[in-house]
Amino acid sequence: MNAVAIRAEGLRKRYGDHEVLQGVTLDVQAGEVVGLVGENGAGKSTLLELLAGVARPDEGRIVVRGAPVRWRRPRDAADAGIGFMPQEPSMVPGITVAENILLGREGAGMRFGLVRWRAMNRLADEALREIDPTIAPGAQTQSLSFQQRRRVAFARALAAGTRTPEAPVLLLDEPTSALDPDGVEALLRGIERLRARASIVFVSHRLEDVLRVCDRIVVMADGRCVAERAAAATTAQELQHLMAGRTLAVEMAYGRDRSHAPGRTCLELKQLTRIPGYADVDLAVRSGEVMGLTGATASGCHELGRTLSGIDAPQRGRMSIDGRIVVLRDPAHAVAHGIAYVPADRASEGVVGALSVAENLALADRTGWRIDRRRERAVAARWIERLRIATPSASTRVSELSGGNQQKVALAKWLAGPRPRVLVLDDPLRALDVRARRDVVDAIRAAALNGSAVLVIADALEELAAICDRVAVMRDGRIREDRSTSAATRALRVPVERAA
Amino acid sequence: MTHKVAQRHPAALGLAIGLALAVPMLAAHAQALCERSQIRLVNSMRELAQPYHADLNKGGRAFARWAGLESQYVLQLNQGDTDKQIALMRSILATNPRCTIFNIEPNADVVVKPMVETAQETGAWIVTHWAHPPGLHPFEGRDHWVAHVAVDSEAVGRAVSEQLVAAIGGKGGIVVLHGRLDTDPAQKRFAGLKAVLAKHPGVTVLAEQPANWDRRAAFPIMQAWLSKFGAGIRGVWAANDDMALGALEALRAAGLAGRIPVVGVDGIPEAIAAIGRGELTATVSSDAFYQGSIGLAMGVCMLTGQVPPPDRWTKAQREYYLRTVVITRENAARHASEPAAEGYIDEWRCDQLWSRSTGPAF
Amino acid sequence: MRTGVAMTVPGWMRTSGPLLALLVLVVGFGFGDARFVSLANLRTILDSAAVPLVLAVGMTFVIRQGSIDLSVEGMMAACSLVFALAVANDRTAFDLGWLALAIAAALGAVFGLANGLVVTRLRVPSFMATLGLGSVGLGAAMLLSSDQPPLIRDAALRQWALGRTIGLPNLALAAAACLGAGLVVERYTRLGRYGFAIGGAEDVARRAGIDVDFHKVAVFAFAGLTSGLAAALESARLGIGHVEVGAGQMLGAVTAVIIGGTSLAGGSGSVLGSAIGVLALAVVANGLVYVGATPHLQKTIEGAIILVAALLAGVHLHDRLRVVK
Repeated sequence: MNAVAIRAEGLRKRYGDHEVLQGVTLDVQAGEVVGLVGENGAGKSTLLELLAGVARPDEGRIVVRGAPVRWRRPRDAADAGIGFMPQEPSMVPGITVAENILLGREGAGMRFGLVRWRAMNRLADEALREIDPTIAPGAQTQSLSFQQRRRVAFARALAAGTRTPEAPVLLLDEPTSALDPDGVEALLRGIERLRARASIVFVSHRLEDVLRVCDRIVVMADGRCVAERAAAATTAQELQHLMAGRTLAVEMAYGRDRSHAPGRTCLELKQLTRIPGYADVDLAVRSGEVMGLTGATASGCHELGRTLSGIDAPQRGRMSIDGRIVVLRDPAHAVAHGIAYVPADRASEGVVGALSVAENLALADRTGWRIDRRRERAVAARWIERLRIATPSASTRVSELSGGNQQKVALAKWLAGPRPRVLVLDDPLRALDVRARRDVVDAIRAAALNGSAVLVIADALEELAAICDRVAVMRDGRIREDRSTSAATRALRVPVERAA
Repeated sequence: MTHKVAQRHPAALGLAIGLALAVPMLAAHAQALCERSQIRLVNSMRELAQPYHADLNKGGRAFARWAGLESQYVLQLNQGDTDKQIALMRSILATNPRCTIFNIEPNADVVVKPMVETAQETGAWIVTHWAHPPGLHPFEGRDHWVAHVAVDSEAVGRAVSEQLVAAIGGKGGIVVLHGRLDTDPAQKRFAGLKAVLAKHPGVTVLAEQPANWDRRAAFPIMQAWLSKFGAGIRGVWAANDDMALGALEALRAAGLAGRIPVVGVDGIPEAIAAIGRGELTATVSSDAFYQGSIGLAMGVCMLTGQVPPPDRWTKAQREYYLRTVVITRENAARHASEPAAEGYIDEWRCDQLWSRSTGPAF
Repeated sequence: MRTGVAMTVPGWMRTSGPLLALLVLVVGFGFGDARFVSLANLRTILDSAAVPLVLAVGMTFVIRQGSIDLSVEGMMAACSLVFALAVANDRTAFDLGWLALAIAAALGAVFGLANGLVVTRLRVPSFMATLGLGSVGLGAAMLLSSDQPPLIRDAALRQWALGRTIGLPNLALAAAACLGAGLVVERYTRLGRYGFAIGGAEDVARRAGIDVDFHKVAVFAFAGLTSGLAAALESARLGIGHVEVGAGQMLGAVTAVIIGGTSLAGGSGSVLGSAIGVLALAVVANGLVYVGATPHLQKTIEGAIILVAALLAGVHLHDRLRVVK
């Protein structure tokens, strides 16, 4: 009978007033590869951080090889043979590969405060050899490509895991994200090689990878483990369905004005490329049309959004608005061309927390140089009512509003000003309750009716099903599908119930 | 002509002029303007790190102690910041302006006018040293500008340059270290040098650089010149002793200390000691100890009524040249000791206030 | 992922750029006046670069870890006074000779320790903490100097400071030793290597279990030690304990470090690069005196060099959206 390598019991974790993990219990057997899947915000990364000792749980406990543990520092988990590869790149640029692999636990590589380079390189090489023998331990980290650095991060996790004589436990958070197909292949083969002597938790949004290397797959949603399947006994479709949880489309699929026909092509992208991110993107959005763009992490949707907003310039390809080619220098330039962008991170990028609601709404209105307080107040009053922004007054600081209301302010800012030609919204419905969602969806549709070409970027198809006329799906930087919503949802066999 | 006499028989002439000026003064006895205990003495100067200023302060403090007013002695340092010198003056005049006497070493000539105006506004009293902007005089209705103790910097420059030229035998190349060229002493001393050089065409200026009155700036400049001109340098002219001493250290590093004549100005103890050792050739002393105290002495005498207020003084008493002394190997020993109050008490007496005057400075 | 870089500096330019610039300067001034490249003048340049080099070694470590040390001038003032009062001088009866050098360095280290503790324990940004402590040092120096800056009378020490061994100025040799020590620490010790990690990605370093606070304090102490040593050397050369001994040195040290390729953002650079930066600045200062430029022109040129160096050093960080304060 297999021993349990690591076990999470009833873990709870709260950040601010958001309960990210609501009682998670998970077992990983010795020698098992467990896949962990779920939408953004489901709590996967947080769970891994708790298991890796990077954060501490508010409630619950962690049991490693039969003994409960209480880690105080991340290093304690590493000392217990738990290797962690975080989702965000975590290499120190100015030092060598070997130093990065062994950072903080150099062992024989550093004695009495002195570096012993030969020993350091040798120790690092033990882990590095398994992952990528072409990388030299003495190389400068800065000289490596992005792919190589991800592999070094993997080697670092492995090096930690192999510190103890026990079988290592490896926690890998989206190890294949932003890797090219060869890199992905190499990493998956690495996992396969290790499965004999390590227990691995593999988080990924790429369901076919998960199905390929894992023995068992756990689905998380809203901070809980909601389902578990043997890899051999499930499919990507089923997993997606399980991940989505309740069907959101129910609340939103109503009142869509079918009689409204979109106008000419307003926004057109041809062969737009920006690596890493997306490549050869062809997209067309018409005035009055609501286009959805979806894909999981690192599919390129959000990167495309940032390009459209003027933040990141594309390397190749063409973008045109109303038939004229535009090359965006910076966000201000984009605004001048009539592109309005509502970013995903509304708190830091969408609104100015220190200013009041009325002042935020006036930000996008650049007519004249004088501040007309009366007009500001009138505009604010109108939009507070239209979008039902819950705020004590128009002069309340936006930072004091809830997330949903901040989102409404961020959106209203663009709608209050001159009509944008193109309205790009990144994850507009995230963390909004049902009523707020409805209000925002109304506003988005109104903007389209008003003549803007609207592009909504979201992580899940279901969110888009009810608002969008067309949906494009991206994966690994390219557009895979582009069809009308009805066709898209039919193809994926996602049940969409219509309200009466 | 007066200056030559002043150099050779300083004491005699001083006594003569001083008496001539003071006797009518004593005859006209005046009302005390302040209680002695209220009198505040302020010495305003650049900084303390340089020995010249250290002596300024010592003189002022010694006088205050002798006058029984040491607790009322204030030192204001502006670290070379002209605006700060004015600001410090204004801030202390928030209280007791009418019984405060300022003795000023101006950071730059431009500071004199605003400080005099401040004194006029607030009723404070001010004595300035060295130089003021042209066309400005204490005796033109500025009653609170007690006196201006001028130093004939051009004469000083001439005197010390003649020493240098003599030491190098009237021909050869010299290097020149200027002071801050936006100050009157720096410009006038250099003018004195030029006047002397005009009479000695055999002497050439190889290079010149301002070194901010500072030995740390002079050192690397001198080093660079040594490697550039080598043996071509026959003498070093520095606008003050601190720079001269910096150049001396550079010479020492090259093994040339004492072999090349160096002159400076100020008469600080270190320079006098170097002259005694033969490493410096000459310096000119305005006697910082005296300069730091005489303005305060004038103020105390006037405020206690022992001397009438300045509007009743003669022009020559309001603006005069201070006697200076050229110090060379011959008289170095006499000037080498630390200045002490005992040597100056006689000159602080109210009937001796002008004992070092060599004549009007306007 | 870089965004919108207007111009890229090729890798070779960043590593050998400073050295090339130095060579260009030497050749340039040499064309202006052949005596510039004479042995005597090169010795002069080395001599004038000695004290700034000692400072730059310490400053490299501080900047590399993402901090800044603005207390150099005040620290040097205090250490200069203590040093001058500890050797044979005209104010006190001490005559500690070489021991005084160690005392000055130790005092600097203590100062640096204070800097580090204020930054790590009280969480004051290094900019402010070091500025404040520097003023404290300056004040202490003024107190010690009071009315009379102490003149150093230790003949052996002065002779050493002004003299040469094997044809090279002694102070330059001392600075070279300091540089060597800095190199060893940077390449072969935990303190040195972790400095790169802390400066380059502090959160990563923390998560890896590195005691970031301890290492930051140690680096500040090391920088303080170099300041104290520099102050003692300069005082020995000038023969006086002076509150102004550090005036202008801090900006020179930071400039040299930046010219040498250490990024102000931290995480990169080397003391060797800083040494080249120091030499470049010394060459410029000396060369300008050679060609007869006034100090005002010198200041303008030094300012221009700082700007160009910062521009070249930071061009790879040109992000259109980066907020520059």
